Amino acid sequence: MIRTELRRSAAPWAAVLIVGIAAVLLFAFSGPWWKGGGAWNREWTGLARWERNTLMLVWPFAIGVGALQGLRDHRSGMAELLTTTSRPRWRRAAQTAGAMAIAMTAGYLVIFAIGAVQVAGNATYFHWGWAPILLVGVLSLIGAAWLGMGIARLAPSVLTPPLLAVTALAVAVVTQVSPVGGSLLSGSVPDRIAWLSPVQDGPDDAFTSVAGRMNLGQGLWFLGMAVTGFVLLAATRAATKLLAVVPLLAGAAVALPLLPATVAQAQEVDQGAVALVCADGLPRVCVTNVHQEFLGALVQPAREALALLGKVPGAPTSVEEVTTGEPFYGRRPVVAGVVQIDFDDFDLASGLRSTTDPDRLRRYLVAGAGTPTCYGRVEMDENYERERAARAVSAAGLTGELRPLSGSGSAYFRNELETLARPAWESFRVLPAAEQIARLSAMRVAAETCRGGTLEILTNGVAR
Amino acid sequence: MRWFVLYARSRGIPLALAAILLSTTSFWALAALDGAPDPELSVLILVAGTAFAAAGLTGQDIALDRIAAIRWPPRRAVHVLAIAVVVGSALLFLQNWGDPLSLAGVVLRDTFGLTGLAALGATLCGGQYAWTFPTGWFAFSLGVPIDASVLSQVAGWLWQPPGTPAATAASLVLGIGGTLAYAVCGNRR
Repeated sequence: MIRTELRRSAAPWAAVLIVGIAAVLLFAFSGPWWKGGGAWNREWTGLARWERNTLMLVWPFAIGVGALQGLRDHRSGMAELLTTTSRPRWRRAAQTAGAMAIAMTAGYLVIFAIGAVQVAGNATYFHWGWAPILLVGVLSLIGAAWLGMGIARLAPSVLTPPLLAVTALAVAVVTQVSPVGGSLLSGSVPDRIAWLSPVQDGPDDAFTSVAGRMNLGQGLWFLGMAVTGFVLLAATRAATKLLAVVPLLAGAAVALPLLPATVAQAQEVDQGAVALVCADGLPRVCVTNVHQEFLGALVQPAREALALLGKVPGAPTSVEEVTTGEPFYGRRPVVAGVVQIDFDDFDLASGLRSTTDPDRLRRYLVAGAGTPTCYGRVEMDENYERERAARAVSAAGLTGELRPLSGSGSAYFRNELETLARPAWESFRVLPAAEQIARLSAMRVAAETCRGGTLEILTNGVAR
Repeated sequence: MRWFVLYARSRGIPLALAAILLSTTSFWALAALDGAPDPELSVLILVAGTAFAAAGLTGQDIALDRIAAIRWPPRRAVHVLAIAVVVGSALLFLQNWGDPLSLAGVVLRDTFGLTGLAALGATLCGGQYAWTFPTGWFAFSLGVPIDASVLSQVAGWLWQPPGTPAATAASLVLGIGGTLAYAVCGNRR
């Protein structure tokens, strides 16, 4: 019987459409799901979380399809006839609901499998942390579809499916919690309530995962929703239909205290992902577990860079990956003695990929004598350009050749290199070796504390 | 008048009208609760309106409709355009109170295109499934990244600023195409 339901009901169409909707979104558009370490095709957590992001479209669709399916008995006009058979109502309901659940699960898993093929080729760090995120996604679809079926049986109107789908869409829209601004209703409704929606933002990096209490709370909530939907679909007495709301309310009552109160609590650091993996031997060159596939390509240029930096007193003696994202303004906390690297940095990523210019990575690592930039990702003013020029000149001072730090080699960067860095380099290169080292050292101290004037130190020996 | 009343009843228009007014006012109130005008909610008002109205594009019995000695094509076209007028003006009317949610040009463009989509849905799949077309495109365009590519502008035509050629073209193609398709072919069973 369930085989018949799988073929004859809306279930197969629903599964195909779920895969279609999500696949078109993920493949046809170069959205944020393709970018950075948290991209959907890079790591397992990123894949599971970006698939949850597609629920923005798929979840309202599931409740609408469920409602369309729930209208079937009403449309065929045989509900009364079926009550004359001796088979209990719930067994018939179980077949339709089971077919729908299988379709929802299959559709969601196929999308995951498409991503998993790509991730398996890219990721070296495997873990099971993605499983709860995936499971909650599946549960949310089953819960939505069954609730749709139940409500449509209760209110068999042609308007029921669009009403449910549009309401779910509105819920998904207004409750979407963005990491920066919170949800649309943040001012008036606590984030805790917003997390009753299954839609989540994808991650920026590969280091964070969804907090366990978030998965548990949402899982229980959607379980309650599924039970309510099924009872509504199977109930024959009015009293049972009334009682059907109890699992939904119980799910909410259990979930709300479990769900995190703030955006920060909703995420947790994936300790397995951020654990450092170091190359054999010294000096230390370490990357996170999740990025260990880059270690092989990094270690040789990194050690050459550290050897060059050894000439500058106080310069870093090891290379380590950082796990905090680049801030919009200012810089991350600096660790003394360490060249901090971030694989989401465009210059580093392109340096690693570069086959035409093997020195680029080394140049990138010695820039600023191993100090990080003082400016955040949205600060692109004149000070940033002067700092960039100083970094290029300091890299040239150590490698002996002025070349662009950026991989792009675009006209903009070439122009910046010629107008600011070239004159500074011409005056720097003619200095005696001891004076060069003294200026590099002074520049390093200034750059470490973000006092500015690094370009002037290299050209004149003093900040102003 | 008698014809009009019978027609409205057979298409479930009173209930759909109630649903449109309810959703428009409640989403408008939701937007007012938030304070800042959200493009999502203003477009969602139009999506909800066209989705609910779309169910009425199928009558009780298509065979019965066919045997009537009535010229259906102009009536069908009027029905589609009436949906656009009701849905669009409900939002424009409510906007007179409080901060306007969106510009009149955007409301006009989006309503026309969405109504055409709903009519297309009724033509291809029947009135009971027609809501999936405007709702689906809206949901899909939520995920479309905002950039200057023509693909993004067409896929996200609902969100473009007024006067964006690609978005206006998308709205006109959907609106005119959907209305014509429904007027000529009628709904699918």
